Amino acid sequence: MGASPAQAQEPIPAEAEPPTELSEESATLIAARAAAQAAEERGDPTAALASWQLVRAALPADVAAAFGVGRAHAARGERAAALRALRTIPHDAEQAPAAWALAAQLELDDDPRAAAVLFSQVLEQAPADPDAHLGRARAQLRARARPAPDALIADVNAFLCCATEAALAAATPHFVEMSDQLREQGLDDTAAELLRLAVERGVGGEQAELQGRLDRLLVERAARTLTLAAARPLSPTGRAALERARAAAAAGELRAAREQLDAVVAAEPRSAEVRGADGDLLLLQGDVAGAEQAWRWAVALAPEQPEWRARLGVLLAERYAGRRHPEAVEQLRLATRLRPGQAALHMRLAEVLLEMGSFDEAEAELEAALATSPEATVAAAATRRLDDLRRRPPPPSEPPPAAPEEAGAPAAAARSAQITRVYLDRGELERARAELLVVQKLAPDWVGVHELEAAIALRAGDLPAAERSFRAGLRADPAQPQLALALADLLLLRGATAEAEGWLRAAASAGAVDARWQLARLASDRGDLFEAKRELDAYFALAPQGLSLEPAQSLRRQLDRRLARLAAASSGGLLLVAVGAGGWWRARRRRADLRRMVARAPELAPELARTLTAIRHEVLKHNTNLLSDVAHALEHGDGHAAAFAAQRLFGAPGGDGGVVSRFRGDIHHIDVLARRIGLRFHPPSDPVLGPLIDRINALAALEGPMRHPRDRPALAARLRALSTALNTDSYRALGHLIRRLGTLTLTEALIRAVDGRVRAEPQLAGLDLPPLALDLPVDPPQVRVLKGDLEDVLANLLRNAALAVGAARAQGRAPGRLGLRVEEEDDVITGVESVLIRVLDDAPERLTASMVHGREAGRGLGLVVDLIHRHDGSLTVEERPDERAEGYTKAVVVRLQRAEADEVRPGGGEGR
Amino acid sequence: MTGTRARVLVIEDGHEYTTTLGRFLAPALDLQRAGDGPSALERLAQERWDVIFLDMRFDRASVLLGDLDELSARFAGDVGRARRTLEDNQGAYILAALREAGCTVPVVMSYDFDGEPRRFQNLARRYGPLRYLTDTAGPAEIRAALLDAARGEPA
Repeated sequence: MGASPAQAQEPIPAEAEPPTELSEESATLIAARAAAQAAEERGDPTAALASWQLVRAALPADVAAAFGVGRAHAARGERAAALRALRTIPHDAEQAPAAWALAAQLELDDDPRAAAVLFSQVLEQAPADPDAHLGRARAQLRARARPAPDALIADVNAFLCCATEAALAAATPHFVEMSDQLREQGLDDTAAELLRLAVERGVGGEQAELQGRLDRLLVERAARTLTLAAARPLSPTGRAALERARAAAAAGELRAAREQLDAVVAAEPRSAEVRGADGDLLLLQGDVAGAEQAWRWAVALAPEQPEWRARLGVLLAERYAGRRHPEAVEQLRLATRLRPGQAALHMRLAEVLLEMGSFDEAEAELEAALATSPEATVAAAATRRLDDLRRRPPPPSEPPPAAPEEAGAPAAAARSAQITRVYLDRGELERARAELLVVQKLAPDWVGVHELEAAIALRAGDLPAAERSFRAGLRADPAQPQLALALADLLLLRGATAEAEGWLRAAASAGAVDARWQLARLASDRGDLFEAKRELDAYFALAPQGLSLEPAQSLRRQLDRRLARLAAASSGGLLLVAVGAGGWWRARRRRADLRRMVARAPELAPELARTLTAIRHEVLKHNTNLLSDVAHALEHGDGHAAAFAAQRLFGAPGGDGGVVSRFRGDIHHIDVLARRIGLRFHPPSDPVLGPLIDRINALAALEGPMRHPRDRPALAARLRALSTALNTDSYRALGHLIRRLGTLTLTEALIRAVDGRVRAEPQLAGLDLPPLALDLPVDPPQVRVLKGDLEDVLANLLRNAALAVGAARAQGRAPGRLGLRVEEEDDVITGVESVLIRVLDDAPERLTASMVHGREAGRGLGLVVDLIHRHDGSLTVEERPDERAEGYTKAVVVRLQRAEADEVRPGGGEGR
Repeated sequence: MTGTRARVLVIEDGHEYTTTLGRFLAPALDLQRAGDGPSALERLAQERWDVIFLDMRFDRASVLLGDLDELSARFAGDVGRARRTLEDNQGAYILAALREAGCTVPVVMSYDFDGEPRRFQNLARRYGPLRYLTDTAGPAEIRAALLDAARGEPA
């Protein structure tokens, strides 16, 4: 039908009216869509399916209809039909990711590989979709595709980070399933990490289930490790070889001792005593890390033996400048509980606690030490420790005990025994007792039961029960020197000295070195000086070092003096001076800010700098830094970011595991440092930390609103303001403060002043010394070191050089030259700049690295090395100095970190 | 840089940056993670990247780049201290290693060089193109820095 010209000239409407037939069809389809959606809303998938199918029949390419059919089939449990419908949806459709997500969920049971692919496709479009991350992790595990642990944990983290509270509450079964699958696939570590993350994030209303699974996994893993490394008793041949090695070490023949001990370790690697002795020798040889490793072996092999724990604890306390004090306390505390009668152990623990500022706990330990051993030797040592906390001698440790026995137990009983030990180690005494019942049932005649029983009783503080168990163990097998020693300790505690001495003799004759020291002490107490000296000599011959070494040396000096007096005089009583240890901790407490603290005790600067750096790094950089972005998200209606940040800042609801809690711990630590020097940290008067604490408190007041954001604009404004204050003002102020702590300018005047003081010392009087030749940079460098420490270091090195040069010059062996050169260098890899101080001389005596660092180091050099290490520096020896050092024969080189000028540049820079 | 999303290799021993940045920056950037130096070098050799985001401290990585024996000798046989030094400066070790391997991809380091400008200059001179982000940088600033670096723009 043609159009008339008039009609053709009429303007065509933008949207022509549809023909009547189409309108009716469209109305039908609109009604069908509405019916389908209504059916879905009321939970009637059958009706929804019928309606969506009607739409789809009319419009086969309609994505919404295909998705609706898929959803309805899925809701009716018709997986195959649902997947057929969903697969018709084109990849570029707007709803494709949602459809893939549904398909992936449907595939999860029957075809997890396909599900994993689909979840990955969802994540390409929606990278932050938490359900897809969790789904992919589950699918990969079900498919046994052995996903990379990192990738799996990343998916889990992405879920935990962003999932809704409802999703988290419902996720427990998924985590249970995933952890089981990981364990089936031998990925226990990943399973533990997964459970730990879930527990920390508070997954599930029944957290106890995941926590329980995590605990069980850890206990089983620890027990398996112990079972793999179960201790074996030392054979007679091994014991003889071990004693030869010890004797060689005591005689200073370290190489021979090493050769003999290596052979014993190779032959009997599961002997705790051998491992322990290996640690002793490694420490003698200067291998700290090796000694730690050896003692960890010994602890793993014989966890109920306190000796190795004590050595480990002392090592951790002494060699890591306070960084591993908590670990040291854990080991030493366990050791004191297992051996409550060891005064030296209590004293060691007290020292570490003092350094940590735990004065009350230290006091308790000192009282225990004095109560255990009130005689002059220990009391004097205790007093000296207390008075000289910051100038302690090198670390001793405890002498080795006898080997534990665990042979003769059936495999199942041995496994239960290891589980008992794990629970004991964790302080879960009830569980340990329950597990011990299993051991007793499986192996009623096994002697090791008694020792475990005693260990549990000691941990519970039930000394009579422990004594009974030790006695039972010794009745079952008298050849257990460590049990005899432990029983003797308990008897001494309750004053049964005569019986204790009998057990000590038994232990000593069976190879327990520590028993010799105890016998010497008892003999000295009853006035039998010759017997005491004999036992002490035996102790020193067998224990080149040990936890009791220092009191033993003190006792020997005391005995020598008493014997000399006996020989020289016929009259005159012996004077024992008991010095009380009380009163020292009642320091005067006064308010102070950081500036005043450092002014009073400059040696606190490194520890303060470490603590402030931790606050700056852990609290501000990694956490409060998110606040502005959280504010941004809130302003755009997203409350999840606030909840996410709240979790990091405040920990789980009702708990105290968050960053704010850690910050308060750091502030408490500063107060502890202040109390150590008789002050009390007073935040309001501190210009940097005062405002920071106020801001953190203001942030803490927002915990509730952040967890459940309501008035989002107001919360966003508060967070934005706090973000600026914390992340700009406080952050920069802290950085400035940290950089200012503990730096000095190395000037000629400073060096000349030290040199002048050294030359004025009486020991250098009369020596014809050359002048000190200085070679310094034009601009004096800034060094990260405390002034007093650097002066001590320089004085020591200049004194040594002067003595050597003075003697050589007097004897005509060298012209006599003394020099000091300062240079700067930067590490080619890290870019860190150092200041090198070379102390040069021309004395012909050789100086080697081992003479500086080894056990042969003089006490002065030992202190120098400690001081330098405290400032992250190093000390080396150049036996042939470079060509610029013409005429010099050697140089001792101190490397210290160069402090940078305090220039703060915002932003970054481009390398050229 | 190809397409609309820059490919970023995040080298960190934990998952903090990938998790946080993944949440805030995922639409603009394709973030992939390497947990230690060797795996980073492997990924850099196998794939093409627009920019590297590198953390400095690696105290959770099981594998560290660097000569532990040499450092132990410097610290009087103290292996623990040597390892801590490697951990504290591992980012610099990784940076040196990837440049030595011929990788010229721009690097953005997450480290507070504000207090150590000379150290940064030393590193940038040897191992550029290099820029850093102050510790106060939030996700938006990180995104801008990564995109600028990927485009080769000066800091």
